[in-house]
Parts: sequence; structure tokens; C-alpha cells
Amino acid sequence: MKAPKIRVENLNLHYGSKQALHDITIDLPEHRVTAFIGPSGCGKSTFLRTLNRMNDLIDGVRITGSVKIDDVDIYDRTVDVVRLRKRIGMVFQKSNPFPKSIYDNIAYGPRVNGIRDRGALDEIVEESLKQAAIWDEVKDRLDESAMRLSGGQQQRVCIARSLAVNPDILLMDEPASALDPISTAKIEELIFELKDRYTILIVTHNMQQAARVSDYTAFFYLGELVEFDKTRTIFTKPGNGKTEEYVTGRFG
Amino acid sequence: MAMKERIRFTFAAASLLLLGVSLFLLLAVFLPWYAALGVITAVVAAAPFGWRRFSLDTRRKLSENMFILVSGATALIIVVFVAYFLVHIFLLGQSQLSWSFLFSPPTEGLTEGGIFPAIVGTALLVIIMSLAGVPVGTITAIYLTEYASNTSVIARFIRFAVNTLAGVPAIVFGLFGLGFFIGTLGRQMDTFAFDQRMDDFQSLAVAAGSPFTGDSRARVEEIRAMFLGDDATGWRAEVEQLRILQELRGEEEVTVAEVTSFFTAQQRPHWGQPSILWAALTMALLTLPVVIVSVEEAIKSVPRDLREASMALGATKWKTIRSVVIPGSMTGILTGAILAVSRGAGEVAPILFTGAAYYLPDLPTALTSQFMELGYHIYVLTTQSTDVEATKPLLYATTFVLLMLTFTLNFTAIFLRSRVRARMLR
Amino acid sequence: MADHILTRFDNELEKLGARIDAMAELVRAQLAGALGALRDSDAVRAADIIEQDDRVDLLDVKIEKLCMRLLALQQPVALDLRTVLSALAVNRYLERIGDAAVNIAERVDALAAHPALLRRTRVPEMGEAAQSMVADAIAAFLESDIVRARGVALRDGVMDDYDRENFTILTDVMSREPSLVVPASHLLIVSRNLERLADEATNIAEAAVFVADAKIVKHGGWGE
Repeated sequence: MKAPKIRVENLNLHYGSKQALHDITIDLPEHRVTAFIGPSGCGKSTFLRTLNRMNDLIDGVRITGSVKIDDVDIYDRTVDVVRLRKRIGMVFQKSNPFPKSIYDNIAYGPRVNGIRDRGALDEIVEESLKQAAIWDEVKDRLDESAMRLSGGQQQRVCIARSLAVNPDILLMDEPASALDPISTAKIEELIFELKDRYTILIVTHNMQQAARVSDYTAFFYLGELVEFDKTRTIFTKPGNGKTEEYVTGRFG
Repeated sequence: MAMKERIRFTFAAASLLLLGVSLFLLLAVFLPWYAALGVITAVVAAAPFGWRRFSLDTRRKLSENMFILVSGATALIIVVFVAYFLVHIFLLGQSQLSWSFLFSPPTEGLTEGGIFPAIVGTALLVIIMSLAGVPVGTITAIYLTEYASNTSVIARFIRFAVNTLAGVPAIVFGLFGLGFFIGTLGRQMDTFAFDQRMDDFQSLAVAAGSPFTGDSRARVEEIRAMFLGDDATGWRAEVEQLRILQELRGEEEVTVAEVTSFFTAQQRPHWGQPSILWAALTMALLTLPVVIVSVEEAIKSVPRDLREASMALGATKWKTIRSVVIPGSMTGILTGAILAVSRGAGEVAPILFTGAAYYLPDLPTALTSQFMELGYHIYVLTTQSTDVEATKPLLYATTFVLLMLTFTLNFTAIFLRSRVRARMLR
Repeated sequence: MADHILTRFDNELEKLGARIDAMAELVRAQLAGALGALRDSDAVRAADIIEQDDRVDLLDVKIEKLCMRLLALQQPVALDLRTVLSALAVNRYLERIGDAAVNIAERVDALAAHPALLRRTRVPEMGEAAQSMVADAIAAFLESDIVRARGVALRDGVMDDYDRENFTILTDVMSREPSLVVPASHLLIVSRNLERLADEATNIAEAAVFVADAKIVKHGGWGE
């Protein structure tokens, strides 16, 4: 792997007295899709959220170790969290568009960054919706509330919304788990198209989705990173017995 | 019978009892009590026999629908009572209802005329109260839910204060308003203003050449002459009264201290008296807990993942609150405002000492004016009128107007709220 | 049928098709070359064929890996599953055809001096028939042409007959002209190889039917 985009070393995370992540060390490659798999409660979502410091929003969280993005430790005191989050987009499990128009949803991020000019915003909105493969479906109703779209459409609008601030990295926490198979396939295809421009990390409890969509896969279990390798290896001859048991559906 | 059966039976029996009593009361309005009782007894007695004649199937269906029947009947009874109540008031007061009633002031010792000043006073009171209370309550609620940690000392203290405030009787608010707003705050403001004016007076006197400083004495004549000729200074009225001082003292020369104490004695309170401002603020305090609680609930109801989405896009906490949380909880904020307004239009006790006037045909022109108010006016008409029979129709008409005003305020606010809701889901 | 929503899936299937095509081309060339070398007693050409077998083996492994990846990562079902499973099987059949061709090429040297004997047998006819069967079977598989596939299956019987004829002729030759025992034995094996080759072609035709109709027609399941 060429210079990894994200290097994590000895990351430990505690919620109060409970330890959720044990000594995670992993290098995440740029312009690739890396999937995090593992049974419920294994820490994959928690790990994902440490990458844009969303865990800071929870009371009583303690983190040790380093998380370096482009060689800068994001947990360093001098790092501006707000700016960090502008570089990292996040898509959540249940689509959460703001109760505003589609246009205002996409323009929210750019407006936060100070872009006021209507022309510039129009361009950004169009570009983001095109990248999210939903422009054609909504271009005539940008002023309608985003809440009126179907689940799959809402999720793609949320993806467009996170792309509008031009991040480097896209974090996706089970983005398709609430969707029907066709919408899921569309999102997977979208992820495949996006990886040329972004580094994508996706948490999924659906192993087959990880197999279809990712280049690398990391298997988490009980807060530990058990195995990390190319996806084709994990699903044809995984190195660790636990990994093999999990992907073949023998537990979890 | 099994436990569940027993509960259902008890519930059904209690509902039936309630229904029976309500029906009895309703009938008793129109029939003598023994006739009403007779009707109810007949129905109750006949019921078991009728019951047995129903098939098992019908009985089961009836039991199932018992709750619907009873609650529907209860709701109906409530509606009927409210309608009856309104109609009753309307009928008793309708002779007085007219445009002139609504738009002219009371006359002839409150036995004739209209209630226009009271309507205006009530409306102004509610407006100022809302302007004062709703923003403060909203900001407090935002602080409590968004910024303060749940266990911090400040948060617990504020919540304790709010809960206590909610339980305080309305008349106590009135006394607080009298003591604090009028007696302390108002008086402080007056004193401060007075001191400013006295300084002003002294410097003007000195500038005009009078030895009116410190302990030196000046002739009253001189002082008067200085100010009476030219009223540009605005001291003419007070200085006119120095004549009284002269008469009292029999002397011609006075010190600064003597003039000051004279003016102080003559001083009429400006802020330190009952006024619409203090009354509105007292009411704002009264409704504050209601506003805080509704806004808090509304803010909490904005789902966490909307906030997270905003934070993940790189928005600061304040921006998230401004752009996502507040718009999302707007219906709740309006609900709080509606509840506050409803209470404000109805409470009389807090304004008894803080600004409501017995008879004031002029409309309030400044924040320091007193005002007439519909609720207080009803109290006055009931207890203080010189001719009870003549004022009865007036009383009922006033009551009716107050009710209509309250309903209109409520419906307007509810309408606004549904517009906001519709716009969010557009 | 429309494309898959996941273009990666379509891309991989296309790759599979292209590789099977390449394997088929290679194997057909091997067969043509071996038979040509035999007919013309061309030892050089025969040696070339034997060398090229490495290429066939390499492609065989690549196709297997691709199929394994497709099964593990794309979880194909229905038509896609039948396609991948058949591709695995056809790959094996083609590889065996390649092996048979190499086997024939290995005997060109020994048979170089006996072109007359060759002509007395039915081997030349078998060679023609075998090549056409293989060509038709591959075309039937790649184009899902059941009619063509059926045609291939029907011609298998003819190849069996040729083989039996050769056996009679050659055993006769061996008993009458003992000096020709060695070349005759080689020719027996060549005949057997060609017969086996025809069987593999039939297998490919059966795989074509499996993909198109989900029917397993081997071991006499052609029915109507």
C-alpha cells in the first residue's frame, strides 16, 4: 500500500469504566474502500467515529493512542475539531436529512463555511447531487422538503450533503442497512464510483456487502482488530480462524 | 374472575357510575332532582334485564365497545357543558353587546358604557408579557438542554428554581411585583433619575450665577426668578412650588439640602408606581416556568442524529442550535408561547397591585401608565358596582368578551403553529 | 437482460467471458496444430504445440481464480451462478482437450515415417470431426445456442464408431504386419485421444444447456 491516508496506532477508548476499543493499530489506504465488519457491539462503529472525533460529543469518553490523518495526529490539542470535521464527511445508518428543502440540505455545509453567493451554491448543489447519482431524480424539485423523498433517495441526498463540503474522507456507518435491496445496490454502485475521489470507510454488518463493495476489510471482535487484509483474501482464505468462523456464518 | 377480568369490570363499573352521575346532573338542570333520579334509577334497573336478552356475541361486542361508548359520552357531556356555559353567558350579556360596547369607555360609575380600555389594556399586557417572557424562557431552556451538563450545579439550581416558581400562587407573584419591581427597582430608577435631575438643577443654578452650592444660602426669590422666566430648562413646575417652601419656612434663604428634601417630598413616583410594564413583567415571571418546560421538551424532541449530522458537516455547536435545533423546535416554542399567553390573559391576581386600574378611561400611553384589564374589570363589576342589577348584563358581556379574546389569541397562535409545521414538511 | 446495478459485477463477468474465449481459441489452435503436425509429419510444429501447453495451464489457473473471486465476492445467483459454475467446468474440459492435443503432438515424431498407415485409418476423418465438434461446442456455450449444442451431442456417437473401426483396423494390421506394431499402437492412442476429446466437447455442449435452461443433461438427460 502506498502512503496510507490514515494511520492509527495503539488506539484505546474507554466509556467511563468500560473499554470499547483495545489497542487498535491499522493503516487505512487512500482512494480505496475499506470495510469494517464484525458482530454487534464489536466496536466497529465506535472506531469509525473516532476518526472524525464524533465520540467527543459523548460524556465520559477517554481516548489514548494516536490517529494520524495525513501525518497529523487529530487528537493533538492544537487541532481544530470543527475544521477536521469539514474534511471528513459522515453518512449515518438512518438517513437524517434536515427538515429543510433539498437545496438547503446540500447547501448547509457550504453555507457554514461562509459561501453565500447564490451562483456558487447552485453549482455546488448540482455537482454534489450529480456525484451522488441523484441529480436527475430531484433536479426539478430542489425546493421541496427532503423529508418527502423515499428512504433510498434520502440517503443519497445525505451522501450528497456530505460531499458538498469537499471532504477527503468519507465515513459511512451502515449506510444501506435501512434500505431495500435495489436502493442498497445503487448505494454500493455509488460508493464504487466515489472511491476515485475519496477515501471511503464503511461499517457494515452485512458481510456480503463488504465483499461486494470494498477493497480492504477489517474484522473487529470484542473491541479488538482481529484481521485486516485485502477483501478477496478475507473472503477466500482468511488468515485468522475467528475471521473464517465469522465470515462463514458460524457465529455473530 | 381473573385479575384482568376484575380490572375491566371495575373500570367499566366506575365509568358507568361516572356516566350516571353526569347524566343525573345534566338532567337535574332541566328537571327536578327526584325526576332526574327516577330516570337514572329506571335505566340502571332495566339494564341487567336488557343485558341478558342480548346474545353472547352482542354482549361481547358491547363489552368491547364499553370504553369507546363511555369516553365518547363523557367527551360529549364536556362539550355540551362548555357550549351551555358559553351560551348562558352570551344570553345573559347579549343585551349589552354592541360595537359601542366594544369601542367606548365605561361611564356613569361603571354602570354604563363600554370596555374598550379594558380590551386594549389586556391586549397590551399580553403582548409586553410575551415579548419579555418567551425569549428569556427560550434562551434558558436552550442553555439547560444544550450547554449545561445535566449534573452541573448551575443546571440543578436553575431547574430547582423553575420548579419552585411553577408552584408559587399567583397572588404571591403580585406581591413580589409590588415589592420588588415597584418598591425596589422602580423606586431605585426614580431615585437615580431624581439624583440626575438634581445635579442638573444645581449646575444650571450655578451656571446662572446663583451661589446655590454646598452649604451656601441662596434666596428663593432668586432661584425662582432664574427658572420661571425661561422654561427651556424644564424646571418651571418644581420651582413654582418653591413658593410653598417659602411660605412654610417664612424665610427667604435656603440651602441646597433644604431644596432637595423639599423636591424629594414633592416628587411623584414615575417608575416606582404600578404600571403596565411592571404588571407585564410580573406576568412574564408567572408564565416563565411554562415556557421553559415546553421549549425544553421541544428541543429534546429534535432527534440526536440531526445534531450529529450538522456537527459532522463541520458546524459549531451554536450554528447547529441556530440552524437545526431552533427551527426544528419552533412548534414547541410556539406552544410554550401559546400556553403563556393563555395564562396571561386569564390571571388577575398578579396585576391587582402592579398596574390594573379601577377606572381609567384613557388608554395607556406609556410604559408607566396604568391600565384597565378585562379580568380585573369583571372582579370590579361584581364587587364594587353601585347598582348590581344594572351591571349584571355588563358583567356577563365583559366575561363573554374576555372568553372570546382568549379563544382568539389561542386559535391565532395554534394557526401560526400549524403553518410552521406545514412549512417544515413541505 | 439489463446490466447489473453493480458495474463491477458486470465487468468481472465480462472478464470471465473474455478469458474463456481466449482459452478456447488457444485450445483450438493447439488441436489444429497437433492434427496438422500429424498429417504433415511436422516435428517442429509438434514441438511447438508441446511447449504452448504451459500457456494453457496458466490460463486455466487464472480462470479458476477469477471464478473463485466471483463466487466469494459477488454471491451470484440464478443465471449468474450457473454461468460461473459452468465456466469452471468448461475451463476443465478445455484444459483436457488441450492435454489431448499435446498427447497427439507427442506422437508425431514416432509416426512421421508412416503416413500411409495413417491414411488407412479413420483418424483423419476423426480429426476433422473433432475440430468441428469443439468449435461448435464452444460457440454453443458462448452464445447460449441450445440447438447447436444438441448437434454436438448427436455427433459424439459417430466419433465412438470411428474409434471402434480404428481399433479393428489397427489390431488387424498389428497381427498381419508385426513391424508396424509400434506406430499402430501410437495410432490407437491417438484415436482414443480424439474420442475422449469429442466427449469433452459434448461436456461443453451440456454446460451450454445448463446455463441456458438450468437443465443438467449429462449422462443421457437430453430427453426430447
